[in-house]
Amino acid sequence: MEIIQIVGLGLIVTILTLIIKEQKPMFAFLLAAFTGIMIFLFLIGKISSVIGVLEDLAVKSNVNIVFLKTILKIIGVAYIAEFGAQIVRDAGQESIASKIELSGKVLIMVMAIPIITVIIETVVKLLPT
Amino acid sequence: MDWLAGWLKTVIMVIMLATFVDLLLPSNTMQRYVKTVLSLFILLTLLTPVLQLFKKDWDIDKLLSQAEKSQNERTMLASGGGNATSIPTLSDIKNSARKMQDADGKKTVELVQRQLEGLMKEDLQKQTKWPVQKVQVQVQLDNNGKPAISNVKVTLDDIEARKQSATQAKSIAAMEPIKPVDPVKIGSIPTSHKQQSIGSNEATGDQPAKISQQEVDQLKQGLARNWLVDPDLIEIGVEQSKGRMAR
Repeated sequence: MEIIQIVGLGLIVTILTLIIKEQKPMFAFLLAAFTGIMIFLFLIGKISSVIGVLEDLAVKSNVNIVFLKTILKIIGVAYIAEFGAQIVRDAGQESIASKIELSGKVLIMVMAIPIITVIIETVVKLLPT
Repeated sequence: MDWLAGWLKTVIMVIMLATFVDLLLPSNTMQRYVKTVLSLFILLTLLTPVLQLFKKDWDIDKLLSQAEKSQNERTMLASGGGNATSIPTLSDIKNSARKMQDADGKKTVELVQRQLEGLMKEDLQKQTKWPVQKVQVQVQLDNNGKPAISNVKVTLDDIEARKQSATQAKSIAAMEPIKPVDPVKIGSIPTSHKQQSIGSNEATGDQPAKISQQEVDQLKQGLARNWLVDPDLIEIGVEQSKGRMAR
């Protein structure tokens, strides 16, 4: 039961952080950030198996592999941006967190550019000249 | 229809993928953007057939020639089944040749039989006082394709003989050459089937016609000599008034 481990770890780290916060706020932040990264890395291992299944299905049903790669990249970007923003927000830097989120959004939109180009080209070709 | 199945598969797969990604997304802040991109993906998947249609550079001449070719093939296949204009195979030709040869051989045999029957009848009539009613000759082709006599059946007319025997018995008897006396055998002569049947005919007929074994042998020998037929193959019989055959 991994969820018990994770929740337990989170609770312990929370208590520790609360205790340390009074003396050394810096260490409390580092502890929280480190725990967050630990949980994230643990979850990445689980996500990879899900992605493997998705890839198999996509190959079987003739989905263009470019689609799949882009979608996976988008998921990754979203996760990483979210995670970083949250850690920064924990440190009390709300503005930097919002910048990270903005960069994540922009990168996602950049990845969508090739698709948008193709669609627009098709529509333009369909139109009578 | 393959492309339709493939396309539907792709569409369903992409939509499922989008739903899954939607579930996976960590927070609300990114969701709108990711959803937009995913909807673009779905749109692109839906447009794939149209894209392919426009990507292909259609060559009208090529397409036309292809269609013509397939049409021609189809008509060839359709006409190949029962059309007489198709070229027959070698085995067909050989078969028909064999059939023709067989028919030819049969005709030859029939012709030979008929001619032999006529000639033999004339010849026999000269040899005997018995009116010859019918001569049946059976001819078979031997291995070299030459006709050979396999059976001769001579039918002598009994009714005519009776009439004639009343009027001409003496004259014929006078005309007959004197035959050498057969070797005299003493003891029980093994009675053959022929003799028995002749004997029975003599008993049943009111004025029975009589043909002796000697006469039969004589006729057989005559036939054998003139026509080079094995005497064993010759049957000589008398047509009875009731239509029965007796030897």
